[in-house]
Amino acid sequence: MDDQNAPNRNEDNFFDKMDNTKPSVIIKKLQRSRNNVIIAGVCAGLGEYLKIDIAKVRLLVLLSLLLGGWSITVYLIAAALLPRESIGDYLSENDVLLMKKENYRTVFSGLLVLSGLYFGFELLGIRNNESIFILPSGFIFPVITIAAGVYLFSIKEPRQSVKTVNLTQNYFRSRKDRFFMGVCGGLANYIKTDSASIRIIMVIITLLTLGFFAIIYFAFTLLTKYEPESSFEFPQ
Amino acid sequence: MNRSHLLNFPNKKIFAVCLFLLGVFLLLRKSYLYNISVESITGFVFIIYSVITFYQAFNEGKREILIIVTILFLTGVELLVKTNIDIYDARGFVFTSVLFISGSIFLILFLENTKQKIFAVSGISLIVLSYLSTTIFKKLGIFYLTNKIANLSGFFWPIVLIIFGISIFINRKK
Repeated sequence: MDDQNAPNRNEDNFFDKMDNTKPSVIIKKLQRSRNNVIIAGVCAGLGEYLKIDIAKVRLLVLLSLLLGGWSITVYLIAAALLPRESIGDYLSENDVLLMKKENYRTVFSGLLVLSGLYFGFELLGIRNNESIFILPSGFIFPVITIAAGVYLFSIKEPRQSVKTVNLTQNYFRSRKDRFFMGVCGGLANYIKTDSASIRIIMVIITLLTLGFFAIIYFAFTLLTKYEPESSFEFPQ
Repeated sequence: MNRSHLLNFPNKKIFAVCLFLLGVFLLLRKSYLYNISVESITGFVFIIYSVITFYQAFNEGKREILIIVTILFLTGVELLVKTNIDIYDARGFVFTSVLFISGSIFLILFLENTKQKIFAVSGISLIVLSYLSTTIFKKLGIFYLTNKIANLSGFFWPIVLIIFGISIFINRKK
């Protein structure tokens, strides 16, 4: 019987020793993020390592494209060399959805600022579109397009079950998400997209059509109702 | 490595083939082996992808995809028309096509959910307006005004883009 208990005694000793040891220092490693990923998780990894807002890192990387596209090379090298985070944080479905929404907004806003700066520089005559890196831009763009095509083709799509779609959902102006009459918020809710993008598109189209599009906005205001009171939630 | 979550849009394989073909055509064009304009190639790619994706999006009731695909299809048609036909007043063309494309989007949304008459009303109104913009509005000299606004926006639109971008970035956590 004593022999059988011997390993247990050893285990006890081991845990006794563990209690006496000092808490080990967590070594922070630069690695690609597992959860917060848009392309390869490099920006998120860098943000977590430097304890900077990840969105700001992404914005900076996007804006650095103005310097001739070298950041793409640096990004690809980092994506190839950096290890991936072994265990990601547990995120609920709602957290993932919110994170995706925020990431989408970050990329969209970054692209808007990037194109604004690009065309602004072009207007001021500050632009170099002859070459990206050392290679001529007429060569590099087709190569990037082909590479993107091959990359997308290599992605294995999981077989998805056909989702039941709520085709009976009607259009209502939004009570919660509104600036003026809730038309854009309602439209965003109807087509399941971001309301900020809808508003921007609406403003741009109204300007481009000399205000004609505003007639449609008012038609929506007059001919459609607000969403029912039951779905209205008071802000906390 | 599971990369399926990276880009969430339908028919990735078809899009991938379209991108690959686009790249090959652009390379051929660069090497002067095959002379076709970038606009034509892009137009063809947009049309092929949008026609295939439309069927799926319509079946599954994916409204956001339906809208994007309608824009892609009509932009593809516009690119092809622009490369094959000389257009005298290009800015008027933008005015007309913006009205036509928005009208088509509303019509498609109506076809997808025929209970919503507002989409039919808006769609038909915009398409009629787009037709009128090429006939009556042109005679009324509205294109002169359009050109003036286009000149102004051509100068200020980078600033507008930057302001929009920054405002979305600041409010991204809402």
